[in-house]
Amino acid sequence: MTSSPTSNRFDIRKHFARGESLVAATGMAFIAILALAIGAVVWISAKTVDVSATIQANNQSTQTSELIASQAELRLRDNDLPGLRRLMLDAVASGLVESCEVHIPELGVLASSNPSQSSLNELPDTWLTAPELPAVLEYSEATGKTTVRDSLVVNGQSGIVLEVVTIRGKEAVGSDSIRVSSVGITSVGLVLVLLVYRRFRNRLGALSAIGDSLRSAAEGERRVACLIVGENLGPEGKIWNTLLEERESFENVMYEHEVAEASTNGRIESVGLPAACNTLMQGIVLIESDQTVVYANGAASNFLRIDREELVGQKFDQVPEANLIMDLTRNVLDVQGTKRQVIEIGDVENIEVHGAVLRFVITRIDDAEVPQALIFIEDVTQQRLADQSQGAFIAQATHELRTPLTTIRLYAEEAVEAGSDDELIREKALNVINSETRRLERIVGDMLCVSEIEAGSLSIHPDPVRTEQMFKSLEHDYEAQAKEKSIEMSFDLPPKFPTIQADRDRLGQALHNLVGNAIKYTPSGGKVEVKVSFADNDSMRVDVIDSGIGIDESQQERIFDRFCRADDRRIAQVTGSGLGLALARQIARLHGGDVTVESAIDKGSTFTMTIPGASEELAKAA
Amino acid sequence: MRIETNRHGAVTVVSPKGPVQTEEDAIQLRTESLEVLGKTLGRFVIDVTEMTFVNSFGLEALVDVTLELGASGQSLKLCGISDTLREIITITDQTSKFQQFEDVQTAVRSFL
Repeated sequence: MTSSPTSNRFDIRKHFARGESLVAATGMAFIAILALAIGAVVWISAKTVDVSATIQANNQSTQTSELIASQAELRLRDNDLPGLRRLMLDAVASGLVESCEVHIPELGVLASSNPSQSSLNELPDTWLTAPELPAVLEYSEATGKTTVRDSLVVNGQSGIVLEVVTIRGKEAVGSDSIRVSSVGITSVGLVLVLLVYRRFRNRLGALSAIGDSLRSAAEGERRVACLIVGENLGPEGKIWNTLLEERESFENVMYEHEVAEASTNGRIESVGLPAACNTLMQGIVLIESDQTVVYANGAASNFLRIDREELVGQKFDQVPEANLIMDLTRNVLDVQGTKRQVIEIGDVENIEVHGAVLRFVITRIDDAEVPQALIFIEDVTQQRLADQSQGAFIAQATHELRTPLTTIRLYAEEAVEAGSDDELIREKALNVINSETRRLERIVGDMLCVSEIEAGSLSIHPDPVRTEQMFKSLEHDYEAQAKEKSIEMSFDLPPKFPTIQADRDRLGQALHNLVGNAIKYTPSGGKVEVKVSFADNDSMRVDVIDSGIGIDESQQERIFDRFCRADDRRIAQVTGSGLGLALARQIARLHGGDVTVESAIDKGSTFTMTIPGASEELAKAA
Repeated sequence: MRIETNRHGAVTVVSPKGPVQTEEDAIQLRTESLEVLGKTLGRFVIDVTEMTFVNSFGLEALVDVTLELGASGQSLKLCGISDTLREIITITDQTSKFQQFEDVQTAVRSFL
């Protein structure tokens, strides 16, 4: 699997849900920050202007006050109270001040812009002198008025106070409006930006999602399910999804077209009889009397190993694979000849060379204006091989059955002839008959078992099985046979035998097959050892070890096939149905276990049967 | 991945061992399957019991093989299909292109 070159790169897009527009989001954030910045600048500017205006207004008030003070001092020095009062009125009339007055603390008002407030008619001779102080400026936020108090010095004596009240300039007052306006405009602007963002968010989200989809497509993604965008992304998203679905439909149509084309070797015959013939696994070739091929289906071109386009229109006798049936074909095409010919070409014994056993059925069609021949070709390799195996099995089974039957007949005759005269002979004959009958029973059992496997009806019926009894019986059954062949047989049994859940008869049958095989294929003087062990979960392992002829590695899996025996000339004289191991494995597998083999030529073989314990089976079932 | 081929009677069983997860694996599977197809005239099955995973390349290889068989009226026989592979085939809507069998024996018997 290839990884994207950008897969390890930090990608901020992953922090946004699919469909969210990065551009829109960052753009909106930028605009909001910009609006806030502009609002802040306007606010600060207005504040600065406000401060400047205040300073300017204060300066103006101070200067006006100083001017009035100097003029007032002159009038007082001359004791010109009427002039002083005119000065007050003129100052108010100039519009520079709202009101002004000159008073002596604790004595009264000498002059005022409001004449009714003047209480002294002349300058007193003495008054309470106060230290000369600089002018004091007071601003009242409530009234918006500035009051300047200045001390007047008359004839070197201080203590007279000039009080001038001025109104702050309109410029200074207007800065508040600017600030309020800036906040308002900024807020309204932000709200508008948010509304615009909400309006276009889905549209931009759709474009972003489509962009992502296109990038995925560029990286090789072709699955529509991975390329479609959300249905809630507006008309653009829906149109994109529709386009993708149309493309998929188109691809499906093209794909079906390709399949149809491939199945007809490039000739589109998707309807009618030609299409039906092309679905056949059997080859059909139609040739005219001059050997020209007028029709061939795909299977025929496969069997004749020639391209279909090349085959149709060609003379049939020019097709290399058809050489062997040309004489028959000519014979069928001859109106005087046989109307139907059947031939099988190939040899199951040599499939590697022939490739297959092909059955050709050549039939003349007389209804046409000129005689035509229909050649029907069928691959019957597997059927012939099965027939051969079945024949071999019947032959082998017959041989297997005949041997014990012959023995039984001979010993029965001997027992009859001996009559009651020789008890020893009669007893021996009955023992042999008993043994051979049991052998016969096993062979018939195997055959029945094979039939059940073939029918798929072989099943097991687990019951508690006392393993000790089963292995003692097995040892007893083969003791005599091993002794007869001078084979040293030993059973390595555990000190404690558990009771397992198994089909006693089937399991016994499988073990008989394994031990019987070991004795059968071990030469005289050899050894056969049966090792039995149980795990904690009561699973059973049986190793049947022999010092026999061994099995070639290439044959080790094949010997478990039904009716198959190892392809080894050393066992030609040993009778066997080729069923024992197949049955043993099948039975073990029905119990949830298996039978495996390890072997080396001339060194012997070890067949291992494993049967899982009841607790293990329960765990599997759970 | 490695591929083993065995004969069961006249039927060749192609057994990929391991996952098909690279383009090279898929090419190997397609090449060897088509080679067997040519030799056996289509008398073969693919045992996928030990093919633990197949990616899009592998699936495409299997589809190619079944298309090639389709030219002679046959389709690819698969056996031992795991749940994962069955799901992949179903999701990709390729179920109809293959014949599926429980095990090798059943697949081989289908040629009778």
